[in-house]
Amino acid sequence: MPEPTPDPDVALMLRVKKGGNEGSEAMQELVGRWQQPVMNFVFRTLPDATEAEDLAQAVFVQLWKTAERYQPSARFSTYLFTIARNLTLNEVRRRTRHPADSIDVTHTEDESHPLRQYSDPGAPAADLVATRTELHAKVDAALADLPEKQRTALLLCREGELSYEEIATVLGTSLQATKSLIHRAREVLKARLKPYLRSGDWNQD
Amino acid sequence: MKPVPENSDWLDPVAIGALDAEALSQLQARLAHSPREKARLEEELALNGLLQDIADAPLSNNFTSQVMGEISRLEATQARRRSAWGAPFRWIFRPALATAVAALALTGWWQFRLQERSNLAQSVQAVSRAAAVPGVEVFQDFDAIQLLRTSSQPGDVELIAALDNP
Repeated sequence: MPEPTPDPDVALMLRVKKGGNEGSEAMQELVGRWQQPVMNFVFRTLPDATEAEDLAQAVFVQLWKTAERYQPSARFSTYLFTIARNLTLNEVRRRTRHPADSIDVTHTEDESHPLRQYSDPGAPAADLVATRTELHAKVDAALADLPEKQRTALLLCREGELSYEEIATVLGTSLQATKSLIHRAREVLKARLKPYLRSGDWNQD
Repeated sequence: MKPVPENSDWLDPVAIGALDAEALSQLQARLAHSPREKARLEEELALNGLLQDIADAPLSNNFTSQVMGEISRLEATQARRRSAWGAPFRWIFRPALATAVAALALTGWWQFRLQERSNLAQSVQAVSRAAAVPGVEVFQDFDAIQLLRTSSQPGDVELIAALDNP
């Protein structure tokens, strides 16, 4: 049996754990590699681009804070998405209790670290909605309507390319329960998106 | 290359996109004779396509620099806190901790001794109370005494009457 390929992100995380300049460089590389998957994951639960981005940044800050205790017992993505899910759930709970509050707790006005810059100067969420095809919007809506665990399980397949075992670890459920969650989520999506699946529209973008 | 799953076991790996292109084409060939299974596979693959095709969330260009900036700020804060609190007290911290631990241990030992003495005093008290009780030999004539109290012979009554009236 071939040796499993070592996870390069685990090696980076171990460098972050050591700290110093090398740790900073490794952290920067990890952020660069995982920013989009984490942002996608958070955005499907908190569909406000600004707040989702703040939360995605908080995920990486939390990753850095917990680096000292990091043990490479699993794939890095499992560890990262566990943090992402916990922070997202905390935020959803906090918003349920205090609906008017903003999530922005980490940023201060600082000239050396300007606030976020988008390549498109327009409002990103509005542009995204405008340019997204009807099909994308339907898929997003169908995903948004799924129960949290089902949606998270599907997104972990997409964003983290995690196995069933790894998804079960992130969700804190059994392997069988995880398979069942994914199966049910896919059945719901297939029922809602049936016309598009039949017509093959998914393949024509 | 990943092995092609047998029978309907193909559903789980297909659902998470775990089959590579070669395994997938083998699976499609295997299911070609069963229109129902083939249609099911096509539907699963179509759903995978839809899910893979959803747009990425908008991300600012300076996302990484913002995260690294935040981390630098936190590092600086931690360093400041360490130097503000740590420097003047660092030399005293370990002896103070050792003293606190020793004081805690001494207090614990003292409490233990007190408790032990209190238990001993209670035991002595109980023993001395038991020692004051008369011995069992006082009860050896108990039956005879009891009998005297309950039975009065006619001769005794006459004797008492004679003594009362001499």
